[in-house]
Amino acid sequence: MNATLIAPKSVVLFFRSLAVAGVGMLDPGEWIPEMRRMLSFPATFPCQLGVLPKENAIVVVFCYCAADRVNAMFLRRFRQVRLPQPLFLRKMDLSERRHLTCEGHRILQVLTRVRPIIFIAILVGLWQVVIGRNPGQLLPGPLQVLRGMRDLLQHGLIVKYVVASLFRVTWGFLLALLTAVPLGLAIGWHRRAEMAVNPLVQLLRPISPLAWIPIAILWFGVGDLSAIFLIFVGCFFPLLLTAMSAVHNIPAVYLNVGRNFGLRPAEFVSRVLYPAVAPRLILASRITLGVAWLVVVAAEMIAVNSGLGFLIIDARNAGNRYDLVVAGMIIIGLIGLLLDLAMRSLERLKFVRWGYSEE
Amino acid sequence: MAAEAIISASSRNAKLRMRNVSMAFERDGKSIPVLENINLEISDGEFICLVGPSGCGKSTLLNVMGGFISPTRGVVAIDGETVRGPDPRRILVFQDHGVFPWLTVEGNIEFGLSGLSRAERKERVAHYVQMVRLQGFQHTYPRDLSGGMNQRLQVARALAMNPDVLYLDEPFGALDAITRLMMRQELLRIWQAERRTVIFVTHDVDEAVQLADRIVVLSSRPAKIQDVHSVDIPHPRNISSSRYLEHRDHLLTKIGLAYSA
Amino acid sequence: MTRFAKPNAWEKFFWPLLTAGLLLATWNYSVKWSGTQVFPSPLSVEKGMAELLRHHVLWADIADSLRRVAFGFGTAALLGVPFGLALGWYPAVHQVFNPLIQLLRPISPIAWIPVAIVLFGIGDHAATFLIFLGAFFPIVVACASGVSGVPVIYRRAARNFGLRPAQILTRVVFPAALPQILMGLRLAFGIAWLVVVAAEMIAVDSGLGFLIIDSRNSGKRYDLVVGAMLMIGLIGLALDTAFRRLEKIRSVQWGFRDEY
Repeated sequence: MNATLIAPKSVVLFFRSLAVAGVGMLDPGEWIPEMRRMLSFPATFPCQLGVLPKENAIVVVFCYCAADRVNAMFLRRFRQVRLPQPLFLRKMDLSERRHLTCEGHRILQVLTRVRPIIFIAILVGLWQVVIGRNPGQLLPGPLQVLRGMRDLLQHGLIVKYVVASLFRVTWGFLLALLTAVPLGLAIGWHRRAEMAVNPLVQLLRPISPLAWIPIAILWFGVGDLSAIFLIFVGCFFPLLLTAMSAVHNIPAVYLNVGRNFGLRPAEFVSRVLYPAVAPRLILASRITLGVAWLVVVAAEMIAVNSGLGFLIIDARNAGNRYDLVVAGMIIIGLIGLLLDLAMRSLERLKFVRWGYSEE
Repeated sequence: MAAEAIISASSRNAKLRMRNVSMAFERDGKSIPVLENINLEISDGEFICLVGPSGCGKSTLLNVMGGFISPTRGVVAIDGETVRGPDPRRILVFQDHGVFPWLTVEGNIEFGLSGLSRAERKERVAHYVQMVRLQGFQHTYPRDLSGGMNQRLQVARALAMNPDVLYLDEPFGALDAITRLMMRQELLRIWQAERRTVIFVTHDVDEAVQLADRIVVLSSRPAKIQDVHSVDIPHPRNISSSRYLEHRDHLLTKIGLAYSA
Repeated sequence: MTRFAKPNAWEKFFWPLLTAGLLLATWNYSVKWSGTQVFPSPLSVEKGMAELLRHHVLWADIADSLRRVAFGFGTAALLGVPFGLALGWYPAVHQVFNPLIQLLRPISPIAWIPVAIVLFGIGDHAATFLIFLGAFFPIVVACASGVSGVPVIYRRAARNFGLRPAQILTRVVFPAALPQILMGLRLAFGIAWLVVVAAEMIAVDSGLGFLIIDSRNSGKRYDLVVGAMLMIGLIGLALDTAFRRLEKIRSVQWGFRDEY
């Protein structure tokens, strides 16, 4: 097995084990044998899904897909011999490109490829030094953070919290998507409706979802519904506005062809309107999902009793466990990144790929 | 002179008839006349070209014929029936970006065929894929096809609906010169295989003389029918023959007049 | 189809007013009808706001929020734009910094609050730091993608005319990327406005966000809560509109085709 593949493989294993742990059927101590079993009998995995409560099912599928995505990404990257090239280089001239590829010693090539890791390692080292210099400080050093993460994993708390956060995000985001998109398309289509609604929407849009917290608590009390409502509010307006603007930007040609072919209104909407706006909507969904992830963390700090945001606030309030705080932050970053990658892969579907310029 | 040429087309089986059609656009309170007093009769199975300088209103005329715009005055009738809006019996092929990018070649061709049974649909799609010579590309998306192939796809999609009239709005305008020549041959071949009434808008006189049975010359805005000229050379037309050049010169003179009209 | 019917000029005012009126009426009557003691009616919101205005408290809060946003956003722009340009232009920079940025970007500024409090204590600086974090990443990303989106032909033409790489960056790439950068700044500003409200709820004791939390905690003054929310919306809208004006300047107008 190629040496460079071992590291990413462990990442994959981590997420698959997370998925299995999400089943809630296992203690952390049983992960490794279970993992081994799972890897040799992938077919058993779907059977386990049938036993799950709904929220865990979402997480499990998500983790599994995420693991596969990450795996594929790493395999692709590490098969390259040249430097991994940032997006814009593909647009560059060949003449410009030449001086950038490292034609030289193998070691030099490997070093340049590994530059970002070295950079992060240096940062982490500096961090440790700064913390070491000021003992008795509240902020943790990297070692403490790692120990904190291990603590969280041992208690199995982290999985529950991740599940809770993802659950809220999924529900809030889906609700917003299913209401804002048809509404936005309808409003954008009828000019009068847009004139009526637009000022109101523009007024409500800049209001941070967090400003809605007192109202959320008033209407839904402290709990899941509050958080879902806040995420809904945070996602609804961007999606609505994007849907409205997407309708405006459909090239008249498509609409004329639809009219020409004598489609009934229902057919016209489903066969011309929706496909034509799909690329823009998926792009907006990706950005809005990022917003949802931001909001859920904030909402959990204030309005609920579980989840990653709550973890952060709780760790701080109950004993100043800043190592857990930072560990929580890193996990938030990782999961947010995975969500973004997952949405990006949607953009590569054949059905909507036409809407994005060649990148 | 123009009036006689029009009436000489047999009014008995006139497929499309336009009477006193005028069209004016409103902009900033002013009314800008685009079409003025168009009278035209087209028989079934004819290939008509509308020729004129750019901006003279040819596309507007086509849109009026297709029912996408209502004329300010006058009536357009097809088979005796007044045209009130777009209809699948008369399909318009656009110059650019007319195909749906989210559907494959097959998906585009079968777009309007939802009323047919599955077997019929498959058969028709296969037939037209064959006809426009896009075999092997049935599952390709438009972004992976060239401009010429996309236009062929648009024509296939239009023909699959079995329309009575086919409108083409400068369909080869966005293509390079060589592809344009090839596409003219293709279009003629397709038209001869399945005779339909075709109304073709172009600013290229050569194209008009190569393709059309009758050529309608429009003056610059506001567009009036300058002349209707019959081209009676049988297909395939030799573009170096003296008869061809005669027709061509006749038209160019007419259009020369059109610019100063 | 309704889309193609042309509405009259007066309708631009009629429809929104009508909707606003209907909404206010529904709000008013649903409050009355449900007999709720806590949720305010439009009138009580207006009275509460007037009261705040009379006591001069509202202006101070607004000024505080604006001040924090200005500092945080300003710093983020000053640091973020050059960094983003470098990120998009130099592949080495991109390679080194991008993984870190991608990892830090999804972490909500709110999650940074405990760290911010430890570093800066409760007060203005913590809030400004959070706003900086919220605005920094969108600006960097927008600048980087703006630079990389500049068509190759512009760069080639610049090299053809004998410009050195640094000159190409400042005289060709930067103006070409400017529409994208401005849009990123506008979006980042919107995020900054969101974050300031959140930061004020938790980390400081003045400002519009604090007004919301405080009104609720001390006396359940929901009329002030809703009033403050509407105020946040209005100011945010005004600032966003001002930003859009920037985009109408001739030298960048070419880059904006269809924004909502």
